[in-house]
Amino acid sequence: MTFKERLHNAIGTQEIERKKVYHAYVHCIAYEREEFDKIWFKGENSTWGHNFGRMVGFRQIYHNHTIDEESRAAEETFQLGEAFPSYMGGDPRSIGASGVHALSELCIEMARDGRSGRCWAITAGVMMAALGRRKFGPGGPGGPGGPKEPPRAEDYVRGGAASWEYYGADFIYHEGEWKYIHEHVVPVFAQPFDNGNFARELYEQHEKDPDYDTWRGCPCQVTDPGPLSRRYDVNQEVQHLIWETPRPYDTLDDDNTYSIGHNEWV
Amino acid sequence: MAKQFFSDDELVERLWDYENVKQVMSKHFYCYAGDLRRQELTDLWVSLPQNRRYASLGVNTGFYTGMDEISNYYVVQLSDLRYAQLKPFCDADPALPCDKFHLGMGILNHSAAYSPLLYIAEDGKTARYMCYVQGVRAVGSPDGTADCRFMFGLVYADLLKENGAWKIWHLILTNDHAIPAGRDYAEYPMWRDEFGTTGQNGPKLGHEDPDNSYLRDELGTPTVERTVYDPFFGWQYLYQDMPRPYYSFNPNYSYGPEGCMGMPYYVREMRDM
Amino acid sequence: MSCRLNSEQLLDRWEKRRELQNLMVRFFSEDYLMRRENRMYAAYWSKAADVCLGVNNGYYQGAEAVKSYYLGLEARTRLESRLIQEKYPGRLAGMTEDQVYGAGVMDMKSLVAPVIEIAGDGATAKGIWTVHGMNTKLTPAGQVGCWERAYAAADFVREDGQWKVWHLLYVQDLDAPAGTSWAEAAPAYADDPVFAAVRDFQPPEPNVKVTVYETYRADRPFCAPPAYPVPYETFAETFSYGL
Repeated sequence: MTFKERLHNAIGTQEIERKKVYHAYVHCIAYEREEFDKIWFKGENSTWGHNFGRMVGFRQIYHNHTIDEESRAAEETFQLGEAFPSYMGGDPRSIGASGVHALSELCIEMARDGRSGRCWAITAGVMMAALGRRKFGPGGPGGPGGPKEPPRAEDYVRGGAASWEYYGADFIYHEGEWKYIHEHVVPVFAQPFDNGNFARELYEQHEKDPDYDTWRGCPCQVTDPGPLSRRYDVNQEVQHLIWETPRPYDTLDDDNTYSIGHNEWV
Repeated sequence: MAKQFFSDDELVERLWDYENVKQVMSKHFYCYAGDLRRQELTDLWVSLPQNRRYASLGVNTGFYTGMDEISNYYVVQLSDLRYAQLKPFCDADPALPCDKFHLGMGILNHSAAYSPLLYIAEDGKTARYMCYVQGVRAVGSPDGTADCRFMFGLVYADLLKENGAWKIWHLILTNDHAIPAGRDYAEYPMWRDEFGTTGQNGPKLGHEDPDNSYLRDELGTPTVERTVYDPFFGWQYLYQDMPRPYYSFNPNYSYGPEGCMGMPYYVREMRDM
Repeated sequence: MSCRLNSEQLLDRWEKRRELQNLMVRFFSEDYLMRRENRMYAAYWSKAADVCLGVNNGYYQGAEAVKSYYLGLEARTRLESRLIQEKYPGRLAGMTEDQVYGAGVMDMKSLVAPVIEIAGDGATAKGIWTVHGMNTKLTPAGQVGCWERAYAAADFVREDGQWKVWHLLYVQDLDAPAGTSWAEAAPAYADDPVFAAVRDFQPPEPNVKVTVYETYRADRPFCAPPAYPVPYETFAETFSYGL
């Protein structure tokens, strides 16, 4: 490769790192419009995958992440504002948020043709909020059959949990910018702060029910329903899947991708 | 491909600027974990007089400004705290000297700095950095128990180049949540909304976390007292706080006391008017 | 140093630095997660005779000793996998030893805060990373999730155009079950007879027995992280993470 080509890929490496980190922060504060409008390739072969399945096409990804999430966030913030007045009128997307998807150091490989880059990282996620959630449960204020009076401060508790995943993401160099084309998320475990032990609880679940399974189905509309990958379980074999670190490669294709069958973008 | 803004030589220099800024901040976390704060101030922070004067260290409740104030808070007060934490061990074991060689007994301080996001100014003279820290801290007692906590917080920094080397100029270490190990965070006493409908612009500083004296004691009394970060509101203004591409350093948007950390976005929009 | 190098040389060094980053993510984050202990020595370690691995309770000094460390990890995993297959026949029935290898036990290590220096002569490099991990340990009572906080500091040597680990210091600052205060004894769960054999497993000991780093306890003397590397010209003028 020429000096110019190598320099292009080196700059791309840092840009991909920035885009991944930017994504980690804006996703955390539910700034999904900024996330998807700014850093994603808006084509039919953009894909976003998860254990539960794969969204195919920018329209499906955008709808699932943005439209539904914003209306939910606004509703929750107005409820919070009734109990905690200074929340009223705050940014409904980001107020109270913190911590999701902390991103470890990335393994990044750039294609020798300079048109794509691939990366892999662990997210040691934490999901926390000062006003984490309303107390739920049958008969409780937020639970089925519970009273319908306005939310009160004492109905809320703090929330805190670790939620670890790993990511494989493909980026393309499109119209002079590095953009996401594929992301696959493999959630591995979740652990509350800090009164439980997820592995012990899984062990005990299997003692009670030998057929216990971590699979919870697909929560939204996707083109390719899962499971595409699985969470940790006490009887889960190692998943030797395509979501491993990228190796040096020439071009983004079905042998070098986190989304087989979706590698044309021009 | 887009037209180049920088020459190839400049681009290569900026590649290294990116790595070097990240590396200086990584070193900060090793110094922080190792109680090597004097070494940090000497090796990693600005050293030219005109920069030392305007250096700052921010915490949730304000800014320590100038290297004297920073050193007093960051080094001297920590040293006092470590002696206080050592004393119960010395009281329990008269053979244990209460001296500098035994400081840090029973202390765990481990910071994992995630998601570094940084930009180098177009003029190449300064850089802006942000990351998210997932730390653990513990303070042991001679009876074998310890106050063990998960510590979280965002870190922000302005760095500048002094004689070709990147140096920390303004640093903000925020504290988000301090969660006791082995306890359910949902059982923690709930926040009180002390601001009513006035939001963050009231005369009081940010919410204090009830039942969290461990954190409160550490914040000290900053030179400039002002709400820099209020965990009650979380990352509401993170999008405005994040480093983004910029031409040149502007104190109005810095991570120092002249900047706008902790301010609502509608206040920031008027800063240059 | 950089003032003596032209842009092509600087780019070359930048690429070699990134190679190190990728190597360590593959080694610590990917291969532990994918349970590839059986390839770690061959894939990442130098052919040099004076390789050295330091862990909390000592050093594995020399190639045979370092190999024995990884063979120990592999032997433990094979034992655990066999027991887990026996315990959960429904899902794992009929799988070969290789297919079931690593099942039911997770080892997730994220790496952050790298400090990396490549020698002026380009022959060696040094780096330190903070390790934040969560792993599940198979105890005689079944699986337990544990938080890990550690440091990985290494000397690297350039061999056949690739970086290889020469000396590695991998020391745990915290190793404690989730859901407990870290100074307390681990919760005592009732033994599961299927897993009794893990109690008897003894990994190969370091051939240099010395306390390198203590994991946290309430009265631990202060343990600072290993020193981060500083710029150097040749390895002779800097310190080593090995013995």
